[in-house]
Amino acid sequence: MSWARALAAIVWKDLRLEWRTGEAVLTPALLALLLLLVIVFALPPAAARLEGVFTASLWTAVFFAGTVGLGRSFARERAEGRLWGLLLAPVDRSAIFLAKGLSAFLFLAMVALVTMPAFFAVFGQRLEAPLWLWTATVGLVLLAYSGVGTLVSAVAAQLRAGDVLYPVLLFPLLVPVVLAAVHLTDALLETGGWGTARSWVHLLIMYNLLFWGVPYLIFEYVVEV
Amino acid sequence: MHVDLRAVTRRVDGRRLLDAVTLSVEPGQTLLLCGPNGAGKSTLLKVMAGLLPPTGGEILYDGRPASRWGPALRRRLGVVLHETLLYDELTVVDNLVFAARLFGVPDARRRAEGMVDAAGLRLVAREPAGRLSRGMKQRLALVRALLHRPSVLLLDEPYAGLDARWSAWLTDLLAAERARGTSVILVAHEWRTAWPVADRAAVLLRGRLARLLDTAAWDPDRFGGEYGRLLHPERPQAAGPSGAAVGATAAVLSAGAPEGESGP
Amino acid sequence: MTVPTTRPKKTAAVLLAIAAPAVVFAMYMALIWAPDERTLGTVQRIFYIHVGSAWNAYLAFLIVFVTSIGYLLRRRPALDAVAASAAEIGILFTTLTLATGSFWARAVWNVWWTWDPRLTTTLIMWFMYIAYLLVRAAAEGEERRGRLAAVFGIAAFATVPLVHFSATWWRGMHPNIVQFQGGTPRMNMDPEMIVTMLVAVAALTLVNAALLAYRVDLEHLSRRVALLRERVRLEVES
Repeated sequence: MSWARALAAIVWKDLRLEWRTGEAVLTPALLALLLLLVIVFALPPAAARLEGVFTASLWTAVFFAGTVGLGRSFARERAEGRLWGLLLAPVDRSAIFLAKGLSAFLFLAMVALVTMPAFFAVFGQRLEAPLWLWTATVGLVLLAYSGVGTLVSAVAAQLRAGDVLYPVLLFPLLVPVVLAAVHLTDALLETGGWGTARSWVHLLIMYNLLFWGVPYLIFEYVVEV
Repeated sequence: MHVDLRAVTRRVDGRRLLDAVTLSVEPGQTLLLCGPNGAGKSTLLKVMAGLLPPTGGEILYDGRPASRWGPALRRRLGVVLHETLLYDELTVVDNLVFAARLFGVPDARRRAEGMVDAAGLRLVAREPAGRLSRGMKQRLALVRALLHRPSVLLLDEPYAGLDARWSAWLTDLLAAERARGTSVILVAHEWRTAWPVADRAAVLLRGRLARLLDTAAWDPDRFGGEYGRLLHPERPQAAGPSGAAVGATAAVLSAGAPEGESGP
Repeated sequence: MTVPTTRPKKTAAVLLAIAAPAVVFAMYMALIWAPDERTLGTVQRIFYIHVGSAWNAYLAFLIVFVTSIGYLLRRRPALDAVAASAAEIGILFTTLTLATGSFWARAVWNVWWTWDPRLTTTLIMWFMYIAYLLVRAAAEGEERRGRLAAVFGIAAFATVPLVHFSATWWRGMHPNIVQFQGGTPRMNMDPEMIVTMLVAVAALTLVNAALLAYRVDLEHLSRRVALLRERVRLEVES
């Protein structure tokens, strides 16, 4: 199926580029760790143990550091007319969105893989919930983040000073995801399961359907160039 | 592949970049597209490549409109643009492998390596593409367009950046493609270099097709004269830049306002 | 490119002519005619303009959503003009909603802000539509501007229900009893209050329509100017 091959090709290309440049995993991961430092310095000594401070700090770092890599998703296709190179491919434009979204998700997952253990260690936080549940929850959050993040990246890449505008355009749309992330991870840390926070999972699923489904349908219009 | 342009128009923000362009290219034919800067040559090529939608008219490939072909049409097109479309941080080979995979070329790596040799880039195959010279990048872009064995080649200034030796290489390459029955449309500002490979020449002026002729019937110098006349028709000299500008502005403003419009 | 100029202006003038007395009438009803609220007294009257603004904010953004979809499908510049105008007016009404909501909170609970779900949603929407205007400002070329703004407008509006749910659940699963709209207060409203509220909403909707008409007309004018400028530039160039 040529569609799948083209998708795989783009993901492969992004991974290859990442190996050479480190702009989608290495830099954001470093930034997240630096944010961890800043947060530790900014918090009063006893505050780290307080309820909710851990998840707030963790997700602040992840969401902000994530924009660095996510924003580059389409911005890097701007130079040398590379986006046209992608548009010449004999596949639906939606495949480009899916491929970029998938790359974004993989990169975010890698950033989380590095960042989260560091946060747990520094805050002395213990994970009572089963690891697979934590992973699934974080995965759902990052999936939503990469969906909306890729769409906004495609829009911002066509704007003047798009990389500066990127976080401003993204964050208002991201609010439900942030709320869901914090609520679910709090529930996991306190009760070891989703418990009453289960409705947030439904919200995340809805969000994912929305922000993977809608861009998939209209991506043709987004990259018309 | 038979390419048929019928009254292709493209208007953006009120400007007519392409105005009812009608022409056709037979399989095995090479069409040279020339004209001054801003004439719409690159735009026309991008419209033919499916990168920009036409606002009017249609393009038929082998008798079928582009809209009915869908994305599969692009597998038959090989495109070289002004921009290199290369990833600077990827190696020469990886750039080709990516393009091959993107276009569904079987045994992508083998084909890519073959093209590296065809372009004479073996020595720099593992270098990041960004380190290549202008000419090398151009050669890379050209072979990339051929990876998937297209039936139509759309080339925007393919000779740009190539020295005499590699210009000859490109000419041979185009002759080989012509023999294979590939339709070639190439844009060349420096039309003299491309003249020998072209069967027909089209002159684009302000988005309109001003001239379409057989190169066999025209001596290049005679064409040069004709071309010059098309670009700079005799016209009374303005008193000075300000005079012409003011006159032009007044003409545009009075033409732009519909009847009954009041106000300053 | 033909751009209508006289008609929107006429429509706008007519709408204004209807809206102005409607607003005066609504003010009379809200400030004088409607009865004092049992516990809160006079200060409750800000509720009428608050509800009217909130409704019109959402209406304006709904217009942005619909015209955005329409623009992507039909590419008619008029649709884009309406979208841009509605977004601006929506921000206006959103600001008004937030401000009146804030005054209410100050008067009733002695805080300038409260994370009531509806206020929170309105605040997020405010950010989203500012972002929408930023997209419009940063895009080069009318076609690109219209297209990208439409995409963003669709994405933004689609998020609104999700934002609303998030904001509602954020402060606990059950709605706050002290909510000042919906739930308890509404059901306990005197019929006169309900009527006043509806009149206020209607009056502000007329204002919305009048503003929209004027703004769209302005948008058309500015596009004509841009067009003429472009033509002059082309003439001078050649």
